[in-house]
Amino acid sequence: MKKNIRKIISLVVIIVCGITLYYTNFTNSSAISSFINPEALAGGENSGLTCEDAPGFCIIDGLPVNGVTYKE
Amino acid sequence: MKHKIYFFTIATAIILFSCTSSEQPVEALRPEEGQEAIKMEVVASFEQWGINNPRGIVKSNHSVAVANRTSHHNISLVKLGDFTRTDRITRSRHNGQALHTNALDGSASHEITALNFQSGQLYVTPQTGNEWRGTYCIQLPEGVQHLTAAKSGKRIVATGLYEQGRYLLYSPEDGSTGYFLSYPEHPDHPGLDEYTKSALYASSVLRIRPDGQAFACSDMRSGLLDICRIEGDKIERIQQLCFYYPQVHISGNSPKNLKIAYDKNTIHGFMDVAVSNERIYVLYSGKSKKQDRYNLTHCQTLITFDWAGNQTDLRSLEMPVSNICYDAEENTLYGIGYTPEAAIVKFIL
Repeated sequence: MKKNIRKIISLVVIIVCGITLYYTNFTNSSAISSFINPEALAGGENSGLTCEDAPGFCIIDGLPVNGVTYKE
Repeated sequence: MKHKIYFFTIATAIILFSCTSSEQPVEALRPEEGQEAIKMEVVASFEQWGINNPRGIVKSNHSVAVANRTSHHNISLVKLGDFTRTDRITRSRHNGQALHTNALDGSASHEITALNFQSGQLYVTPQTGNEWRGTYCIQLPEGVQHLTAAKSGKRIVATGLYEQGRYLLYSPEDGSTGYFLSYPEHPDHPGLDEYTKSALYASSVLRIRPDGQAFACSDMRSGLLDICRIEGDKIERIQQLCFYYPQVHISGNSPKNLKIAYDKNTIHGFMDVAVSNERIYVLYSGKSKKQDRYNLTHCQTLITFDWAGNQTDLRSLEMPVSNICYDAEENTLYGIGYTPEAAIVKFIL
């Protein structure tokens, strides 16, 4: 009986650890951005990307410009 | 059998938890509910000096230096309790002047610096007591693109679009240069070359500790904070903290056709940093373009770390703040707050 309880407790600990790992990764960008298609940007010069005014940099043709570039 | 089960359980728990420790969820950057916000005191409105679009602040004694985005000069120097304003670095393409400067910094005592990232010239304005002396400039190594820089004594630490390493340690006196460490990886885009990573993490804030022995570098588009020490003529990493990576679209395979665009859902991160010899103060946005397109830079969370990378405090702010600086004389932070008009605010820490 005691053995079974210990086995169950061990199993619960493993499951909790597994859920923690899954949850941490799920809330990170890795999982969220899995549906983002990086190839979608390869639209040539007319990809419609603009550099909006903001702190930080956009890199356009290898040169920095103040701002940030977004894409859906 | 019993021992085997316990050993197996403990080993599994250790392995799983060690996997999670390198990345922490954004939830970790949310102040606890019910915790009292940091109180702030409005010191003066920028309007009284005719400064409309401040971006960057340094305070020392009763003097304040402000990066000015839209006026005829890049930097404005003002004194508290005085309506006069002195401007520096004319906004111009001519040599010795600058169309844009960034990285206004005053972490090293008795001088402020600002970088013309287009020319690689670092403008230095020394301070004696309450008086600002003439501004001179130092040319950083040519042939590479510098994006942010800070000076401490005779040494300059910079970062930019470097392929040789993330950080440049430069000594203008003897011209010695060294590049150190690499840019952070991105788990969604494994195997990026150093140039692509440099462009991905181009929006950095770099502050040298007042004693000149260490520095902190944050990324505005993510929850990345790099803490490094300067050991002789080398830079070594103390701790790289990663709360989350940016959501980003990357295409192109050469510097000329490389395109980096951040997803509108990406959470903007560590927008500004201030440092004392004991602490690193980080201003966290926590907003995405989709959530709040007009006030991304208006941060309402302040995170404090020690120089070993341990988080010592996480508090919300009484009002939105876009930039911060550390005032050694008063052992507190000042910043650009919004009432909603832009004003100099003092943190009651």
